[in-house]
Amino acid sequence: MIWNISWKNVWRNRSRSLVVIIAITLGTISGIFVAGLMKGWVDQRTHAAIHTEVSHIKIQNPQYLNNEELKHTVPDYAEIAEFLNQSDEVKAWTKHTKIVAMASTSRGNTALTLKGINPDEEKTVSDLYTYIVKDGGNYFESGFKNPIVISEKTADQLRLINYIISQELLDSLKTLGAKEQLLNNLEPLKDQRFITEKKFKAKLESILKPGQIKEFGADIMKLAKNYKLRSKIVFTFSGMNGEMSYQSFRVCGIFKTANTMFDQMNAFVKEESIADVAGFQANDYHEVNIILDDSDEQVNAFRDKLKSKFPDASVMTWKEIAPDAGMMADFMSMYYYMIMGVIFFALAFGIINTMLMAVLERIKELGMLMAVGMNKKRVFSMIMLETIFLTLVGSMAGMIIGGALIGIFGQVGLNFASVQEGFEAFGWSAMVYPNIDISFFFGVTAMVIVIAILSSIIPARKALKLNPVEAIRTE
Amino acid sequence: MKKSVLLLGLIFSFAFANAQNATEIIKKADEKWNGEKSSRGTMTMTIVRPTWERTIQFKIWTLGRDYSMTLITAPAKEKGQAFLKRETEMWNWIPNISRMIKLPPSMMSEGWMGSDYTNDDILKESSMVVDFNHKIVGSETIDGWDCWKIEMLPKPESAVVWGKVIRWVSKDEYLIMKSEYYDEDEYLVKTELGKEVKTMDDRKIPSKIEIIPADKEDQKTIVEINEMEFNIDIQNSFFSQQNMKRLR
Repeated sequence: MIWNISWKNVWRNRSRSLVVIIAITLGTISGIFVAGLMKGWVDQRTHAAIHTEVSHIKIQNPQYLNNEELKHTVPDYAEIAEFLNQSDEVKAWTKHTKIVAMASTSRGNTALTLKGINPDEEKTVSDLYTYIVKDGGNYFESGFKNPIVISEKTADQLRLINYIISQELLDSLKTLGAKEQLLNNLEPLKDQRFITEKKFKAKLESILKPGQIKEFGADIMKLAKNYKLRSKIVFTFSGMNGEMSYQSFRVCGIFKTANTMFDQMNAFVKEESIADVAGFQANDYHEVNIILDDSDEQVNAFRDKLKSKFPDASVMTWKEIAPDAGMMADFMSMYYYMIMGVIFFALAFGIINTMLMAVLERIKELGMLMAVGMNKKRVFSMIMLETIFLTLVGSMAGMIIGGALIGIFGQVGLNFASVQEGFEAFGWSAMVYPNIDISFFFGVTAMVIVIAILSSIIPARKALKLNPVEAIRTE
Repeated sequence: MKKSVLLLGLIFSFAFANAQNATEIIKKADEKWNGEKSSRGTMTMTIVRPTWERTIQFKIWTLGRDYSMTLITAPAKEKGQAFLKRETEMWNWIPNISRMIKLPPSMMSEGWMGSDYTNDDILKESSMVVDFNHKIVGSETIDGWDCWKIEMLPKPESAVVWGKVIRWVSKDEYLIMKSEYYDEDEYLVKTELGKEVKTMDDRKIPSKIEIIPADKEDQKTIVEINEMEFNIDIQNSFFSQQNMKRLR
């Protein structure tokens, strides 16, 4: 009975109710969408942190953490390997040798961490092999000796990315609709090699008109980019015995992840191509990477198990190794509710205002209801229910639309390309696929009801304070 | 048939002798510099950059190939800094902060004192003989010296960043008059020129060496040898970390 009256009351002044409902809908949409965006982001970052960069659990020599010397290899490696092979929880595991080395080519040099891996095992632990860029070779499939996989960033630092205007480029520009004039302008540069993006850009800017650059600049840059696969990189490092050692590698593949820091630091080679030069013995490894199920409890439990079994080794979870990603994952679930809370807090004032007006408008009617014997409890719950209906309608609509938006963008992805560089410097992808937990919707619904109840208190009190006799007489 | 086999054999042996010859030449040229028992000298290095220029003076002592000591004597800011090379390792003594630094791999490819000369060049001099296949490709006259033009291609798997090096070595005296360093796509990266051949301690050597990076305009490094003595009396113990701090 009360429910019915309340529901009908909501729609008595349709336009006023709709204004509040729309405000709540928009608030909910934005809250849900921002939360979905954040979650999508955090999920991508944690996924990358685990499945590309560090894996769930990493075993190292505790001394290696303080001083990255080659002699600090994983203690009791043979026992650890056997234990991991027998454990059911372990989905996959692999091991690396690690050398901090100086990479040089004839034109550039940079410091890198050289990781000696077993490509087949590595693929089960890290999905890095899926990040090979277009035209950037492959992941240890080329047959030549001493292959190396480096990042695009490293390739740039070592000047292994050239810009060349080839006949092919001119042809594809033509199909893109470039005018004869542009092609003629580019003709003199044909087959000239530019070793840096900066020089190539400067040259283009000097021979092309601003209009042409605006129209085709990006395409020319993209098409002219040329990875110098099979180039030689010479690495210099101190080997096991502390002596300076040299080893040359040839570029086999070029990868690019969303994390510039990771890209800048790491290069991958086959473990056997580095073992002899560096003086590694069998079972000399610097880290063991383990993949388990994606559950925090399991990861922590397995870490504790490893710790008690191998007290000499340092056993760390991904949250300890990449605390930024770990912290975000923990903090975010709280953060979504904080965003929602702030939005609803602001909306509450709108709701209070609307309900107050609804009460003041109906003083006579409320007096009448009280006079015919409706008790205070019922009056209070009528107004409260009215508020709840009002807000629930708005938030439901908001959740449906917001959920749909997340669903759509979750498929298509949102591209923040204009600020890509800044994001990627922190390891966050510029392409975001929002997603959201179903539980969040329940949480929002509960929050909406609480907010509705709280904001109905003032209008309801107003109604309760009415004296029926006086109220009936008001015009 | 027999004749053609003979001819073929002759060609092969000639080619082989030729290759041997080129390696011999590079080796002799290398020994001209590094093959002396010991040496002492003073040098001036001028670093030329588009907007500035600076000059560094230093003294240098060597014993065989494996030991060398360098002491900066000017400008005042760097005075007293010493570099010690023992076999494949290098140390740097910086008196201002009283610190001895063992040069890590990361510093090897950096220019020495900001010049176009890298620490790696200093450490790996002998690699020019060992890590390359040499071939005489012609004769040319450089600065009035009749030279062999020798093409040097790195051996596969060798730890050499160059794709090709061309060296001009004078027919008498085996002086390195010019070297060109190419990357793997055969683009010139830098040129080294030996100039002003002078007689020092009864030996003829180019007294001025210029290093010119190819793709950086108005940039070069010039090393001038002011004086040089060879086969001096110097002990292994001279090349020690303790001595680096005492040198004047």
